[in-house]
Amino acid sequence: MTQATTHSLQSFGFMTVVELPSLGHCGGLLVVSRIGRPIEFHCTAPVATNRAQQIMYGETYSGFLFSDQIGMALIDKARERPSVFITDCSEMLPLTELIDNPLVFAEPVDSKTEFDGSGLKHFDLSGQSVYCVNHRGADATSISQGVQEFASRLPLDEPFERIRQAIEEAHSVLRAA
Amino acid sequence: MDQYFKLTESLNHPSPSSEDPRDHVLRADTGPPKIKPIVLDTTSWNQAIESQLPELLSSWQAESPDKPPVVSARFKGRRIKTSSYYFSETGPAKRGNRSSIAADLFDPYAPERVADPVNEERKSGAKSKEKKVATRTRMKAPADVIKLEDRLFYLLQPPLENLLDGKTMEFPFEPFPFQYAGIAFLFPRNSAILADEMGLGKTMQAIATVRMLLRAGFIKSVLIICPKPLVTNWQREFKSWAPEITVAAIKGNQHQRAWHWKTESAMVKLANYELLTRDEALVTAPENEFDLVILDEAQRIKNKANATSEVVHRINRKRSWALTGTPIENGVEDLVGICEFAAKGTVSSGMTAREMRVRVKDLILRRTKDVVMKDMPPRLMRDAELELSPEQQISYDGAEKDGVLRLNDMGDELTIKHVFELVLRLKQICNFDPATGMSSKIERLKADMEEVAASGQKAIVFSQWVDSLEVIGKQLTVHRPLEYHGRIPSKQRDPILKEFKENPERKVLLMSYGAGAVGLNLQFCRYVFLFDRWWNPAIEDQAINRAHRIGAAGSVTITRMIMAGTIEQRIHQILEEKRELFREILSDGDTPAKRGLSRNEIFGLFDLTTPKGKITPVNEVEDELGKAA
Repeated sequence: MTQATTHSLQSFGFMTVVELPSLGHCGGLLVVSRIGRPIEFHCTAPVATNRAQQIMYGETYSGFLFSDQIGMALIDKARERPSVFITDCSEMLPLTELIDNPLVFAEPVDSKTEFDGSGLKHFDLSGQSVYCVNHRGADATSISQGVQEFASRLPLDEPFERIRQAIEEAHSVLRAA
Repeated sequence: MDQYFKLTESLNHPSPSSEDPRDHVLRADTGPPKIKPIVLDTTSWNQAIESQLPELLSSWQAESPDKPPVVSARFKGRRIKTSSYYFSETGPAKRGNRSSIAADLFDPYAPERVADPVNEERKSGAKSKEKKVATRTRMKAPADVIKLEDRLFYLLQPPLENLLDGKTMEFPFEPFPFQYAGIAFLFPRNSAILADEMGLGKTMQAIATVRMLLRAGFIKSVLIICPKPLVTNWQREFKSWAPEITVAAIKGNQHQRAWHWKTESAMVKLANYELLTRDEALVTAPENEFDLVILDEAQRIKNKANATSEVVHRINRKRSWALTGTPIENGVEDLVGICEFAAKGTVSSGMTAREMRVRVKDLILRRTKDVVMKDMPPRLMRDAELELSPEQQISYDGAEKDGVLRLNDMGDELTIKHVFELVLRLKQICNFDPATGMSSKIERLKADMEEVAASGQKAIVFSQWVDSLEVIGKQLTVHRPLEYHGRIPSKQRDPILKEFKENPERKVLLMSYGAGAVGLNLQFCRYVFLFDRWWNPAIEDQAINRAHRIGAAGSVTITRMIMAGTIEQRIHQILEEKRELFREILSDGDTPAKRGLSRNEIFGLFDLTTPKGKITPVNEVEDELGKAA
């Protein structure tokens, strides 16, 4: 790996959706530098399941809610456009049609559903499967190398842990207020 | 993103009275509908849709007569509310002071140090690398941080193990997970009491946190106050754990100290308790404000009325941290005194132990070795219950009988101080018979020391009295004992410790509780003898922990010498009760409230009745005992 390649990914946008009991789904986007330090954080208000939408969208509802609505609301707020977005939430993958940035799926180790990643560039990080869902003109190899370099400092599931804790904290503070 | 749907509803089977709204459900219909349009908002279902999605029915359009009637609705997703947090603009860093060193700790784009792989391997080792993956220590804002953005600032930082991984800040070795937790506890707090058991590295945790705060730009001036013998220890630790931080010890004559207080530009100033009262005007001057004041061995200010405490309370400061392994030595009043400095008003004298525990929960962090150092060699407690020698027995019985008679004769004049004088007299006889010098303890100690020396190990012997230590020294000459107590000048003490550590022929160190209880690292010793018992279990623990601390070479055996059927055995019971009090306030358990040592219990040592006259407070007697040592 060349130095230039390593430094080509300057920031990473970790994005996930958390289900808050009795409130709905809440999205979080944490943009971190290549050494894992936070640059921006955005979270949505909880979005309750909309029965009408659910009926109208059918099986595509989760993808619409997580990507079109929550994901895009988060990305619209980001001042720094990350070199790559990483999500551990397969329902956010339709974002690939909506954004110009590379998108990587880090399949959770404890995922109950099997992800069909056929045709996608794929690599393993400490037992975790990672897929380059799109690379938007960038070299897929350099993206995977950049992600692997990041993961050598911080496991890929760690920023998602931060997002979940921050969302929980935000809502516990709001509940107390 | 807007979505468009073609909505139709059959009118062939209208059922307005139906309770099931699905009877009126709109469905996507691509085929030619054979139905007439209806007014969508007449059904409860559509009212529900409309109430949730006001923009649902944003457009209506009537179709031309030659086409099937169709109702169109534009479905527009609602704009989702988001909260944003930009690290470059918000958070405590922006509002804190900037220090004179690079504030790079939380800089997302901070340059990384190029690590020397060989050196890194030596420092961390493969084992700690595994640990790094397993442990993620996060900073969390204390309860008194209200603003969400400040709370998120801490929570969204990477784990400490990553922040301090040596790429931006180098440490001599990888901290233990509980030490990371201690740093995470101290960092966001303006008020904190780190009350870890002795030997767990409170100094290192404080220094690492100070270094982080300076490197984050949150603080720029620190004052550390410690007992005089520990000043050099702090300087040494700073060199190891924060080499780029400038440290100056305040010392010298009055003019030199005045220069230090007024002009010294070091980021960290080190002062000892003894000079605080002398330099009161300087240290409390309005222009002398510190971003952080740390009290080491903070039990020194447990009595909030003493002169040192009063000066400490008046120091201008933004953050107040207290380090102590023994926040409660005698009773809950000790903790009140320390809290008066760290977080004034948090607790008060009239509170029960249970109330106090709730109030200090977010203020104090206390860990014990048995909980956090699972891998640490065990501490083996051995109570050596011995019989008095016949000569000691005669002396003891006579002294006790006469003493009790005398106390009873004092009537209302009797105070606890008088009782303690008798206690001290009897304890001395338990050590040595005053007439003959006979001692069951010394015989046992000599036998045990033979074993210690034969196994190539070393021992520390603690006593309350320097006189006793000198007698012990004469009995153990074969082991070439060294003495370390209040009569040894300060300048000679470090060389004595060095000699004990490095000379294999020096098998035993004789220490007084007063001089050897705090701050010394003697973890190469595997044996500790408590020749007599101190009144206070916390002081005993401090003594024991000179040897049983991080880096201990193996298990540490502590022998507590107790003369059966004497005042020592009665005191032992009281000490155990005090330990219980300590556990009650500082543990998370829900143990029932218990009182500290009562007046009746103290008089109960000799089955004396409580007089009506003035009673000397326990703490004063404790201080007198300290002076006796």
